[in-house]
This record gives sequence, structure tokens and C-alpha cells, in this order.
Amino acid sequence: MVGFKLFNFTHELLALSLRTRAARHEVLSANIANADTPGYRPKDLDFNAVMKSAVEASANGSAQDGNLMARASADIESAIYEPEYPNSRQGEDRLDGNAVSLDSQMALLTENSLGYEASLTFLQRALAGLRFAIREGRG
Amino acid sequence: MSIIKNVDLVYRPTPLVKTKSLEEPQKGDFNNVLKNAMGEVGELQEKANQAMQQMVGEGTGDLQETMIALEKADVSFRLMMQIRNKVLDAYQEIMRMQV
Amino acid sequence: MDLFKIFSISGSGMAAQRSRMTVVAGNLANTETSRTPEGGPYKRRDVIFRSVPAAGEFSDQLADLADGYEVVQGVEVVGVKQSSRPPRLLFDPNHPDANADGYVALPDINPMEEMVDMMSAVRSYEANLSTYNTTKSLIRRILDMARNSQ
Repeated sequence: MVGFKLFNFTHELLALSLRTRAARHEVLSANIANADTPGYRPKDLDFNAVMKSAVEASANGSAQDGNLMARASADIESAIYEPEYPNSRQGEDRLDGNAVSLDSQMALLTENSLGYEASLTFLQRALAGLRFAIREGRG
Repeated sequence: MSIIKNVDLVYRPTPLVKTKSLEEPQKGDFNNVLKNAMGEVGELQEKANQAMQQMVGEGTGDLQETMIALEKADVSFRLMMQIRNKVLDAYQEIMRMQV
Repeated sequence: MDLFKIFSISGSGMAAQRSRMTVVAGNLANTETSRTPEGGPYKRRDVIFRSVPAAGEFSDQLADLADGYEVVQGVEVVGVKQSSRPPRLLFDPNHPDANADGYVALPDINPMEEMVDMMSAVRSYEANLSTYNTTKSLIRRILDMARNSQ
């Protein structure tokens, strides 16, 4: 079909990264809410794994750009896991079985938020560039 | 006879590209390009509308996806408008040409 | 990402910590209470936390399952339990609540322990509040982006 391809793999990748960051934000928020729940072990989402599998799927052609987001839900959910040593130090579990360290979780949340803002900024720039090109640089 | 044939070639060179006659429009001609483009723009607008409706009406849906759908619809629409403007400009230019 | 869900996770965390603070404040206020309507001295109370599936829309539990993130959990206070620690006995025959041997039964509450508990509750509350604000600012960023497209 003759069409024009405005939106390429980069845009799809950025959209996927936004969705994944948002999901991870959810997981980390839940950890913080459950900082005092007995027996609760913190969870995390392997962001890099999700992005890597998307890049691979595109490289070996098993996903068209449109399908990148279609697989996203499944990929993201399977990336949620329970780290074995959530605080990078053993023996931090409390007597009631809770293993959440507020400091670690806040640090992860900050890192994730920055990644989210980065993706958002890149996407914004990419779209602004497109619009600029369409306007041919004129107002 | 071969000399005459060669002279013929000089004065009537074979065209590099086969041109078809005007009665047969080409498959990928500009008309189709425009039609397909408008169809895609319409689809993107529809997707954006649906995302917005879901967000506002039902309260579910992904905020990022809605925003991205909006942006895609916006950008592709602008491109189409620009193409339309160009086509109009070209048409007017042609009309202004003195025969 | 269901917007409502993310806020409800942090919100549930804040609410749970608030309940905890209230209970601890009650303990601190009653360290010397030797008489209660139920009879006997005040018993130290403690909140029981439990994680619950984060609420999106009330009708949307099914949609949550479809979305797949039902692993994400908020928190809820399911009850307040009373301590079964024996009361501490103080020898004070002149006290109106003294028993036959002259001992008053007072709550076994250690103010230091309660203060530490309170500080921990405050810290957790603030962490949830900070998460809540971060969520809000991320969402604002998206909306700004859509608004400023020119």
C-alpha cells in the first residue's frame, strides 16, 4: 500500500518505554504502600528486559511496528519479579517477614521517574521535529 | 540499411522510461497516494477519539497511550493539510500559466 | 496504567499509616490508664496491616484482571489487635484501683517503643505522600506535553 511512514520504530520504542516505566511506577508505589505489611516482599519490574526483547523482536522481524505495543502487556507483566535480595544486603528482613526498605524503594522510584521524564522529553522533541518539518521551518 | 537505422536512433532515441499513454493512469499515482494518506489520517483520528472517549467517559485507559494517539493524529493531519496546500498551490500555478 | 489505581495505592498507604499513628497516639495517651469500661487496665493496641489488590474503578475488578497487573497491591488496616501482654503491677495501696494486695494493674506500654513506632509511621506516611506527588507531577508532564504542542 502506498502510504507515508511518519512514525517509525523510534517512536514506537519510546511509547513502549513510557508504558513500561508507568507499570514499574505502579509496582514500586505498591512496595512503598506495603512498607509495614507483615510478610510482604518487595517486587520490581525488569525494564531493561522489556526494552531488550522489543529491540530483538524488531531486529529479527517478528514484530511489525504496530505489534510492538500489542505484545507490550504480556512482556511487561512477565517482567514483574521478586528480587531475591531486595536491599542488596542480606538479613534486612524484619521479624514480621516484611522486607521493604523505604530508602531503597524511594531510590528506585526516583530513578524510574527520571527515566520516564527522559522518554517523555525525547518523544516530545521527536514530534516537535516532525511538526517543524511539516511547517517547512516557517511559523 | 543499418546506417539509416543508426541515424534513426540518433534522431529518435529510445526513451529510458516507458511512458504510458494518458488514458492509462499509473497504479501508484498521486491520486491514490492522497486517498491512502487521508484514510490513514482518518484512522488515526478515530483511534485518538476512541482513546479520549475511554479516558473521559469510562475513566479507564492509559494516559500515555491517549496522549500519543492524540499527537500522532495531530501530526499526520498537519502533514495532510500541508500536502493539500501544496497541491492547491501547484494547481493555481498551473492555472496562471499562460497558454 | 489506570490513573485511579496508582493514586489509590499511595492513598491506601497514607490512610493505613494514619490509622497506625492514631493507634500509637492512643497508646501514648493511655500509659497510666488503670481503669477501662471493659474492666482492667488499658491494653496496648496495634494495627494489623494486610495487602489488598489495588482498587481501580469499583466495577473494574474484572478489567484489572484483564489488564494483568493484579499483582500490584495496596494496603489496608484489617483490624486492631489488643496486646495480650500481662499488665505491669505497681505497688500503690492508696490508689483507688489497687487490688486486695495493694497492687495496681497498669498497661504494659513502653513510651520509648511507642515513640519509635510513631516515627516509623510518620516516615512511611511521608514516603507514600512523596510517591503520590511524584505520580501527580508525572501526569502533569504528560498533559503539559499534549497542551504545548504547536
